[in-house]
Amino acid sequence: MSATLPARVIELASPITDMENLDIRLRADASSRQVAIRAFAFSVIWLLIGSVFGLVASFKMHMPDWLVSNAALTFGRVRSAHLNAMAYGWASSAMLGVSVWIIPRLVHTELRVPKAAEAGLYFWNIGMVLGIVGILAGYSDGLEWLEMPRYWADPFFVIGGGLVGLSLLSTIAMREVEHLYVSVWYVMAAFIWFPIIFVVGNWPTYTGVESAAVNWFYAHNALGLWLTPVCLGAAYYFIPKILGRPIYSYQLSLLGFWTLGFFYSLNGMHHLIGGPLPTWMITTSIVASGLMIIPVMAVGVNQHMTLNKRFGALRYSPTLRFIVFGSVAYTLVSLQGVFMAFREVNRLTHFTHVTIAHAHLGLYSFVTMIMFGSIYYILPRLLGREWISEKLISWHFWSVAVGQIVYLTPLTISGMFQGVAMGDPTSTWEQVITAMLPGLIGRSVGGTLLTIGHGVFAYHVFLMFRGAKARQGLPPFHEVAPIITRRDKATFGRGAAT
Amino acid sequence: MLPSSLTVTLAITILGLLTVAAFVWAWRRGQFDRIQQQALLPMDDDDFNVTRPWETASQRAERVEEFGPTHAAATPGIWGGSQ
Amino acid sequence: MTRIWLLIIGVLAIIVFATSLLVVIPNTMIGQVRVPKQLSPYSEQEARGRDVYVSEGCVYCHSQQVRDPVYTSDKERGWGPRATVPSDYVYDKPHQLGTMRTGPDLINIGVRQPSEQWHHTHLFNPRSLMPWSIMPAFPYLYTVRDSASITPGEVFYSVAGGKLPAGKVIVPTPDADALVAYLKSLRRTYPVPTGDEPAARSIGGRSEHTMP
Repeated sequence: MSATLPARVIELASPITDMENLDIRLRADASSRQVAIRAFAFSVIWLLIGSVFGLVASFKMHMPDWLVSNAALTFGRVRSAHLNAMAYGWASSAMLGVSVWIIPRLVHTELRVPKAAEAGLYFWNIGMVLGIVGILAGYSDGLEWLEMPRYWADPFFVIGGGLVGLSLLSTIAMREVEHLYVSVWYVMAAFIWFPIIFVVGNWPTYTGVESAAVNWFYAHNALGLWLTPVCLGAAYYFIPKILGRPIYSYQLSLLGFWTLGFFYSLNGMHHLIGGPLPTWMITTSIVASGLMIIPVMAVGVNQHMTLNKRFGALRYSPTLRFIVFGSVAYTLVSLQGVFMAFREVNRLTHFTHVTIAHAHLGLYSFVTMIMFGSIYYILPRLLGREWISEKLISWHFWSVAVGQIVYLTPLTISGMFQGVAMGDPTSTWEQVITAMLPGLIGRSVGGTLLTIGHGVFAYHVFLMFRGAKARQGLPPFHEVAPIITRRDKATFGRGAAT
Repeated sequence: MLPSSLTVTLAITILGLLTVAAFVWAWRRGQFDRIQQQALLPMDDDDFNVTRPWETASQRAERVEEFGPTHAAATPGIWGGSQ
Repeated sequence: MTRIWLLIIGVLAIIVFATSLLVVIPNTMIGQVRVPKQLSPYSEQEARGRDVYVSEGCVYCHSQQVRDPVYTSDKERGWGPRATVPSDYVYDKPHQLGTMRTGPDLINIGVRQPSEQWHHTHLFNPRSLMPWSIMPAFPYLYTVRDSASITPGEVFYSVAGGKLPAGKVIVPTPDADALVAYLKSLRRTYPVPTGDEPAARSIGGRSEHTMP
């Protein structure tokens, strides 16, 4: 293989031009290997646990006498266990893995203080266990997205996230490239933002409506300043990498970064439209939500133009398939969010299951799909072996893709009927329930499909781990080639033409 | 209400001016020079030199023109352990 | 971009600004909210009931806020005579405003439904009163006993709708008693306290509430 860098990269990567490109990548990958492997293992375990909680909560919505004899299994507890297991267990653990893996690659050096990153990962997951047990045992803090016990579980997340952030920041500080790629911006920003918003959100002194304002300040930022930036960073890394062409407009990606941070951080109060809060706070959030159209379009246009005329690639690379699915969902969910923040629309959708569908379009179709895609790219490179079965990947993709459609469509539609029924004071509550029920049942069907997909994915990961033996020397795919699932894969490697 | 509005106005003005200053500084220091080339940062040389099966002939030609010839990096089976 | 510190400063500036605007400044303003004289702090039992409300996750289906009648049908639905204002919530920690109405709003449930009998049988099994209800049953908050075993002075309830075998009654646990006491305490029907009137400054005729 060639060891020389393209002239343009040499220009940018000045101090290390004499070093072999491949060497850099191998050193980077080796340094983050252990942490990343464990992060993905934890994340898949949380994915399964969270799926079971989600499924139980979903079925309980239309089977209200099922599993009611034990307090730990009551709907309110299982539901928040689901949210926390998914957002902080699955998505965040996976994000820790993705972050420690791509940052060393992007700054051309080893992961610094990997022990801190590893300790951080353990802290995080200890916090998860304590948090979920606390919720099920009835020690919820009672604030959405902040249910995990404030003093028993939450410090672990601040310390854990902080330690991983410390490792990443030291790595970036010791970088051997001159310029920082936009993915580094996103990941670094997320790790600075998260501990701050988490401490602010958990601060114990607020009461009444201020408690509500801080609650939603945090909850929206957990998505906007923690989950979103890392996932966008991953998309900005993997899409160009697999396609073999740089991002369409780098300027646009920078504009997207700063506007995302500035507008998203002010979005939270749109969850309280109509509520007993000062008008200016809610109006600020509605305006900021409207302005979100700028970062969203910046990302959407950029990624679409990068992919333009190469959509055939989706058939070949599972990573790309999942990540492009996630990127499209990001555009959709954000535009939907913009509209749902407007008072006229919010009046219909507020307090309905449209919000739940919206949240899943964000957290599942965007965040989770991007994490799946990232793991499909990274795990083979960590374990030194290719994915075992293209069939399993295919089943996973189609099961969760169809599952999402079955989940989201009825829930959104019947959520709107719920909103219409609630807005009409002559309709009884029985009519409101009747309006939402088809969506609740549709959700259980969709959720079952998603869970089946997760089972397939977890089984595949398990097969990978069980057979995993790092080969001596270079792993066979240390090249940047995408993972191929189609039968004609051999033609890819041979590079017949040109 | 009024004092808070003033505080917010003042805060956002100062922050805005600082942002403009930072932007001007960054511009002067050449942080934005050759900016599109920064998009190449995550790419390795072999990213550009692997044949992609979904590419059309003209797309491939375009890439070769820009980044040099594709090399036959792999042998059969290299992508999948089983084959 | 080659300067890591510039990035860090920008990132910090964003979060400091957002936190100041949506957390710090409102906190100083809401600190000025006066306590309505008709609103008393939760009693020990009501506070315990509130803890049960929080730990069972009632908020995931029930909101506790009445929105502006100009803008919503909350008032016409009978959920309260007026929109709720910040001072209605001075004793609420954590807040339970809620973002979902799979069930009805509860901020005035104590007015709508003052009967303990109703609350207890409804909590034990909502379908004993409303067959179409999808609210979870909370049998673990009660002990089921033979009606013969009830000693004089003991409080018990019979459950309608065939949800309990003949000859059986339910006896609330202390948690259930506390929860019902809390629900009965949810009343925000007094006039809006002076200085906390909604909509002094409105936008387009439909407003949230403006702080003093």
